[in-house]
Amino acid sequence: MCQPYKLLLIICITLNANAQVNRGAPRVTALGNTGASLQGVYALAANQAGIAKLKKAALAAMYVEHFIGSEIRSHAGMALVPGRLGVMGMYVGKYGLQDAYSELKAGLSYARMFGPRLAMALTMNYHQLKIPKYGLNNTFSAEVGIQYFFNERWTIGGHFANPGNFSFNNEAYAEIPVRVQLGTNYRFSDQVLICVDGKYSFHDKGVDGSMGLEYKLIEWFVLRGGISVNHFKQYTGFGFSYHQLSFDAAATIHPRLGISPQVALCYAF
Amino acid sequence: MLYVMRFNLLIFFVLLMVAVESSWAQQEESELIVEQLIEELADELGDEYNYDEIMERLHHYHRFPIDINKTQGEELRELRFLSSLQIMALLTYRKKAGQFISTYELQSIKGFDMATIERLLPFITVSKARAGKKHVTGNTLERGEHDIMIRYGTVLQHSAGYEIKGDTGGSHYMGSPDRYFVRYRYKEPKLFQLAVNMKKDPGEQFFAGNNRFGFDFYSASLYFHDLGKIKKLVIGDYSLQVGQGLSLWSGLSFGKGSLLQNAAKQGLGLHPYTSSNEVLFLRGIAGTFVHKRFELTPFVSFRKLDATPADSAGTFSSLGASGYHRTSTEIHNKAAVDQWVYGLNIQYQVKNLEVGANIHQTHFAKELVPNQRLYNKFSFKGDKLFNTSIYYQYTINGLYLFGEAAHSFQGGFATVNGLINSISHDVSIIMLHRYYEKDYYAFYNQGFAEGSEANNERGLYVGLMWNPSRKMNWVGYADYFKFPWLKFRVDGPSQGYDLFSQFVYMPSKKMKVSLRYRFRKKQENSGANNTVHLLEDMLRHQARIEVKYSWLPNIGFRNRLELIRYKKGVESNELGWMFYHDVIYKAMGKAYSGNVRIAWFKTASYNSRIYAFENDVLYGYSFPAYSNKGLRFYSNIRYRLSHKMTVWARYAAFLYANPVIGSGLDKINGKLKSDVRIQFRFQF
Repeated sequence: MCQPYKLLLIICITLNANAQVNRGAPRVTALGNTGASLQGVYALAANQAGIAKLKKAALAAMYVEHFIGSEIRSHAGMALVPGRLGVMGMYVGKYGLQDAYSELKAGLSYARMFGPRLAMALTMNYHQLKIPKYGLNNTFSAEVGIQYFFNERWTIGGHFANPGNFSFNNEAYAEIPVRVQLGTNYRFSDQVLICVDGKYSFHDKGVDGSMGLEYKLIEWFVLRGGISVNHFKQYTGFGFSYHQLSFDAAATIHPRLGISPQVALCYAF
Repeated sequence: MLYVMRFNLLIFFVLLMVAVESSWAQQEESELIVEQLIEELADELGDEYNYDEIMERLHHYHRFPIDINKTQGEELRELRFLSSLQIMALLTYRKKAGQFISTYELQSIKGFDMATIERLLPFITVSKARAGKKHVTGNTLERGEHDIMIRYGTVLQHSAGYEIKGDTGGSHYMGSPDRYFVRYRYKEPKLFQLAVNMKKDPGEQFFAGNNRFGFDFYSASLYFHDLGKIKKLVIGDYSLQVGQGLSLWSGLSFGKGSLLQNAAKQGLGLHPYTSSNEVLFLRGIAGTFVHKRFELTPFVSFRKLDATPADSAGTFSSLGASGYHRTSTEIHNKAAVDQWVYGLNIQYQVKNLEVGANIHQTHFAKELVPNQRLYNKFSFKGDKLFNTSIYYQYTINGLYLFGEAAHSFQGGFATVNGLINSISHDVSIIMLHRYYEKDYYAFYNQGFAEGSEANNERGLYVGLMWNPSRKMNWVGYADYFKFPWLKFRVDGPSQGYDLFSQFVYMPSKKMKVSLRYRFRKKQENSGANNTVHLLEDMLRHQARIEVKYSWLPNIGFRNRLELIRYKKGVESNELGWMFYHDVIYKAMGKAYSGNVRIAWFKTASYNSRIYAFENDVLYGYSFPAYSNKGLRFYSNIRYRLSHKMTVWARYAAFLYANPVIGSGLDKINGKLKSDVRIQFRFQF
């Protein structure tokens, strides 16, 4: 693909980044991008309050190919360390086209339980935007997350990304999304989990609703599926686990832009 | 004046009947249950379909319930609202736990929620045949029974089509606005059934002109069953429903709606055709023969179909689908082409697996040459079409797999595959993927599709059913579809999606609340009158709140508020609403019963129309579109004259704000459009 076309594509996609590009981890993606009330290491890429209950340190890496053939990719690494005062987590992710455009996001999260039911998290992010031959831009943002566990089956969560509306300076027309996400999940049985989320994006004033279902077919294998309605997208995926190692894969199916596959590997100590 | 007199007579007659009482509750109850079910089944299909066949079947099983200790599942399929998974679960339960002692046991069967059980209970019974005792049911037909039904209806205001006189040369309706329908059934238990339908639609001639022998449409079938190796034999009009409907499915077919399980079609195989629909059936002879685990169904059909002539002589451009023969053009096109259909269906069943294959040929006496339009580029052309398909269904541990792959020779392929799975005790999922090539074609194709038939479409349908308690249930689905080639009024490849959510809460047997939301997005040609059309998104949001309740003995109430928003492109943005109030008098132990509706509606145009099911005379149905601004009123009365004779009467009216109703030949100058129906039934 020629560079000008790539650049045009990425600019078009970036301008509408909140709606079209999903940089969440495969489990969250496959569940329709319903991350507000989910737990696990991949909460570092969704609602960081979801790491507060974790007892084991973990490392994870993920890779996304956005819209097969477009050569737009995301890579990310995550780590979390539980401590006496709470859980610390780190996320480093890169998104873009090789030698043409790149966005770097590095976040440090602190999450802890307040009593047996309430979890909260605060995340500080560093953002870097780089377009070769044009320049480089930096900024910071914050994220706040909260989850409440009614019981072992039912959880609700809320997440506010970039409440301070930080952005790159005027030279770079790229936004740091300001977004509120509320969601809930309910575990119908040991096998079935259903999640529902609603999102509001302040920049494009768009509301999105999404829903996902996780079905544990056998002890070490799960199937997932989901949809979001604005824009309409379908999601599917699966996950394997073997002792401390887990592997997840997902695909986002956009009616016009095509399929975005992604994979992730996690090791829990 | 004639109509006023007729109406006065009608009122007098009805009042006379209401003055007498007798005991007969069963049929009344049956009518209510069946109407509720039809409303759920038919849901979004509107009034273009005929529901009389399914109504007749449901009434039959209400009167002669299915013995769940005897059935092999086929009768349960005919009810249409049970999924294959549920039927299989019932049969497996019976096999493992022994015969049913009571219908209360249904609650122990996996996949049977309260809503399903309540729907099912009126149509089943539990025989006392246990420990080798002879099977006895409390409600079977012991001897042959004749059933004659006569229906008359008319619109009281004359539309333009009746005002134009023949000598002026303009297109007009050749017959009267009266509607006549005669239905006769004779059932000889354990042997055969004879069914005859005769119909004259409004505007069609009666004992005159083209219909000098009387009615415009006649249909008859003689159905034998359980004759040793001959499982079924139909002479006359019949329907064949095999696989998932890609290749051969005549008669009524359901698709998307609040009963998600209907996405997986359950073919009934060979059946006598008893509907008054004039299009979707076969006519000739067909039989189903059983040999061990095989079922063979050879069939042959010959019909004279309505067809529009093409430009070149001896050809036709399309087949008629309305069944109306009112104007000189419609009469000219009536029975204009001979059609032969013949073929064979083979089915094999072992335990939980059923596989089948069918091959058939459709042969026309003239060549079909579709109009020269780009969207018709891949349509079928010619006078012979070979179709074949293979299909399967398999059940294992709460998982039901189904599908069909079909091919039209010299054309393309089509396949549909899906699953229903009970993923926990209260959650079920349904998924269906379809892939229909643009050059796939079958004349009796009613596969699951967003479009009118299974071709030129790809899509994925995913639905969830959740029953958190006996009193609540939620269903939702998302369907995404793509049309790779052009369609009528869609000058380009297009796509869309359909989202549906319905929550039902039943706090008691006397109250039911349902909330529904549906969103559809499709692409259509822009409204602008251009030579080249661009596609625009057409969005339709529909929200509905419905409450059914009863606080008085024998009287039920029903209210519905429906809101619609229709948006096409940037220019057209319409809103509409409809509210109705129903009062239903349920005459338990009384000879008479009835119901009344008053509705208010306002929609910006026909685009934002709202469909609502209406109660009607027995086996009649009404599913009109409420559009523009106005009031709707109807009233139905049923009266049992004796145990052999029943009479129904209906008056319905639209009162519009506009002084002109409709357009073309259906245009009425005035604000009122009202119609009456009266129906008699004799059973002996």
